[in-house]
Amino acid sequence: MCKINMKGYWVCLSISILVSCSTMNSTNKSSEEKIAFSFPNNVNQWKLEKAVPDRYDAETLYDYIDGNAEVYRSLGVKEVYAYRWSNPQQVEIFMDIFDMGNSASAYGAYHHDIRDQKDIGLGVESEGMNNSLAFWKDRYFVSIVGMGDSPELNQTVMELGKIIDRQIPEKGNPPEIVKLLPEKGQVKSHIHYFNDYDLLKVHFFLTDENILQLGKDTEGILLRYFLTEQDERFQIILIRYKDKKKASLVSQNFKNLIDKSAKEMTEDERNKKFGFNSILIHSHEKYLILVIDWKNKEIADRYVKEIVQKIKR
Amino acid sequence: MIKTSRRKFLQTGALGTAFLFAMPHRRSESQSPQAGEKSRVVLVRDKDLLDSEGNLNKTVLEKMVDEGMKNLFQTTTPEEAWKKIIQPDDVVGIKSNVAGPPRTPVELEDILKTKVLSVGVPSDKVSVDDRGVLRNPIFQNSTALINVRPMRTHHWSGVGSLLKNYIMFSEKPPTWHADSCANLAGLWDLPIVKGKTRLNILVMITPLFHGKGPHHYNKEYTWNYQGLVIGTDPVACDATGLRILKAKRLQYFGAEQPFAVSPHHIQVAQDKYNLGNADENRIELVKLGWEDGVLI
Repeated sequence: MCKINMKGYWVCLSISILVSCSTMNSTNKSSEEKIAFSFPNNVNQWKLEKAVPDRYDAETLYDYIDGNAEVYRSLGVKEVYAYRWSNPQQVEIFMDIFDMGNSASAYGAYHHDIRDQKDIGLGVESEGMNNSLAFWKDRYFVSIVGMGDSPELNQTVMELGKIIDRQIPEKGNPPEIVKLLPEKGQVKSHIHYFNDYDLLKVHFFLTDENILQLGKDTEGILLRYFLTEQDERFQIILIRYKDKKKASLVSQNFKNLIDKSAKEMTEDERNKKFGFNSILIHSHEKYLILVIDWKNKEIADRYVKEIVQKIKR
Repeated sequence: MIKTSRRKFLQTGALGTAFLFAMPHRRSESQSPQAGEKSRVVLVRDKDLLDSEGNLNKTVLEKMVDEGMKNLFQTTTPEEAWKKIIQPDDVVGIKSNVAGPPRTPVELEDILKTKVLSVGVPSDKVSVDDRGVLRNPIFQNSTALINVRPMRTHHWSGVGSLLKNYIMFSEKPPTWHADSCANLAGLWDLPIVKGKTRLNILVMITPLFHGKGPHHYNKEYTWNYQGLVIGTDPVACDATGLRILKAKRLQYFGAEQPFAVSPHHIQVAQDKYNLGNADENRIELVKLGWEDGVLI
């Protein structure tokens, strides 16, 4: 038993170093230098109100987008460049470029929202919808929203998107942790990247306390699954901790909490405390795997096994 | 397979520990109602409020406010209704919301101010404000508050609600953001607010039922509902507005589509803070005016 564990430890330690380096590489692929974006004075009928954008950092972003700032602050936003365009009829276009510091955070900012519209071919991933578009590329998350609805407005929004896209030379990569998720049944519109518990809770409520001990040295991904043949819907939360010990500790604490609640709480109290009906908890190396709201445990087991295999690779 | 036993089902296997709870549930939804009187809420709509280009008719809007007030307070004239909630010696703050789109229409702000003045409140004792309420002497010294804002989906709280509209009374708004702003009802215990709110108006003229991005806005996700939800219970008004948004989402998406962020702060306001009634069976809803597309 001990021997096997020891073997496992060494084998997995080398894997963990490998994964760690590759995550760092992903971050390092983001360009270090900030881009000085520039724009023509006019695009179609729309005029740039000020050549110099309003700039906001993590502290001042509330002044610009109120409580929405929490999302981008949580993902480590560095700076936001806010531009305004308007036409003679005063139809405005809000054009915001978020410097998220690295491509993982840019990916997270983009995927905070449900992405169920068509890809318009900008950046690494993009979404267009009549009068608005969003994309991420390198360390930047870009949002352009027209405050009306007309073919001219929609065309101008698209042209502005292309102008920005052309000025970002590097592409950047999605976070490495995304690659560990099994492909089959992914509901790709509902994938959310997070670092802290507040942001996770926006998308899925596990329990009030930060039982997963999420913080600056963690990253996680939440993804919905739907297996049509089996009519099975569930969600997977995968979290990377700084080391195996931490992942194992969090796993045990979570199990203990649930076990304790089963013994000491009424069903009503337990239902209020936890936001799920069923959960499978497993840690492997520095990863914690949660399969949530499954109906068929065999399927949940199969997905855990597949993630473990991917981690081992 | 879901177990129907009331006992917790626990399995430990090679791949991890699985927990299966007996009863399907979602936090803060469909809580059991408590004993207590119902909250009266008036939903008033008018098909002529907006023209074909979306311009707002202020005369129609004022008529909606008048009808809503008469019905809410069960008076024969709107003047009587206003006198029930505002006295000439009141200092009145009208808490609006400019963080749109959509924002509180300036026409509605103007109508409400005029109504307050008509009761006999001096013009220097009434003010409309949003971001500046903490620095505004009228709000600092207010004896009465009127809470008015549009309902729209929101990045962090599920929906921008009447409950959320008081976040600007906090010195540190971000401190209320935890758990999708679950505890927003606690704002109503702040000394500058507590016990002062006489009227709540949830603006449902062009509600936003879904949103994306930093501004959480797309015109595609608004529609001309042309309604106002009026009441003295902010929780009941918000719960009613939420029902309308849910019904619209069902109509638009063709299937039940959970909000990207759970708006459970409305239910929490009932269950934890006892600020008002969120459960549908604890709300007496009166519908006035335009019936087409009322959704609830």
